[in-house]
Amino acid sequence: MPCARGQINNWNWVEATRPVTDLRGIHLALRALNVSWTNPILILKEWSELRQSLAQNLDTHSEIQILKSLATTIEEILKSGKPEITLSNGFKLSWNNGSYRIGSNTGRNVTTFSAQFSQAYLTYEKEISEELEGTIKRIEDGRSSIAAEHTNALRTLVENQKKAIETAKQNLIEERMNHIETVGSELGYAVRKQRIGKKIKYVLVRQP
Amino acid sequence: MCKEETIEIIINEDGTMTSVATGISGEVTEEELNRILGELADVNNVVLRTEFHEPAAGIASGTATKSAVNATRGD
Repeated sequence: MPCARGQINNWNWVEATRPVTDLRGIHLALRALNVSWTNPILILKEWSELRQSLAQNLDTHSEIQILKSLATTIEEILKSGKPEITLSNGFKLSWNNGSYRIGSNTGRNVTTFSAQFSQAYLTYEKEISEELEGTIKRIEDGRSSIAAEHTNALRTLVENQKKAIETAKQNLIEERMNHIETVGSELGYAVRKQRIGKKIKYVLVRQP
Repeated sequence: MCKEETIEIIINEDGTMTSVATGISGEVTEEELNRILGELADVNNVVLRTEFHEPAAGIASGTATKSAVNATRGD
């Protein structure tokens, strides 16, 4: 039996500086960092290619077809759930309490890679959000000049994009609420919850 | 009677979090936040803020200490 002495088996996990919830942002960020997935999700590659196609000069018919396909791929990506992502550089992304975190079991510096990844993810998260706003604006601006079929394709894309963002946000908030309530109680705090507009406030009180 | 330990945690609309602790000293606050939020956020990089509220003129009571931590992810 081989001697395992000196081998590091423990996983060291680092939380990203911002919540990492969207597989599309993860796909784009990893590509920008020249890191590939060892278990790629094909629908993400398809989505990325369709997204790039949309940036080209297309005739109306082709654009409508791409918009429809893009909306469908976003729905499919949502169905992928929260898979564990193993990376070509030895790191791993794993879902934990509403967000992905980055881990390593090789002793490599996970903090440095996590910072690089977080920065790239943030850039693409913003880009995806701006694309959504751009599509909404296009529908509003072109109300009288865009054909109904074209507008419908744009609307479906907007709905699916919003659904993807909302689902991720909802998962994040719900899992964080559960975590705070459970861990707070376990540590002997009286946990009180209060909704303030769209924010949720927890007050944890304990006698020392 | 000992002062109550209170930790307020706000989950913002985008899922980021902000936390304020009162009745707990700075170092203990970081430790305690790590126990509660460590699995959700990088609490090691938070900025600890200590505010000393001076008693109002003419009041001879002691000072109260408030430690605040922003456990926001990012920002």
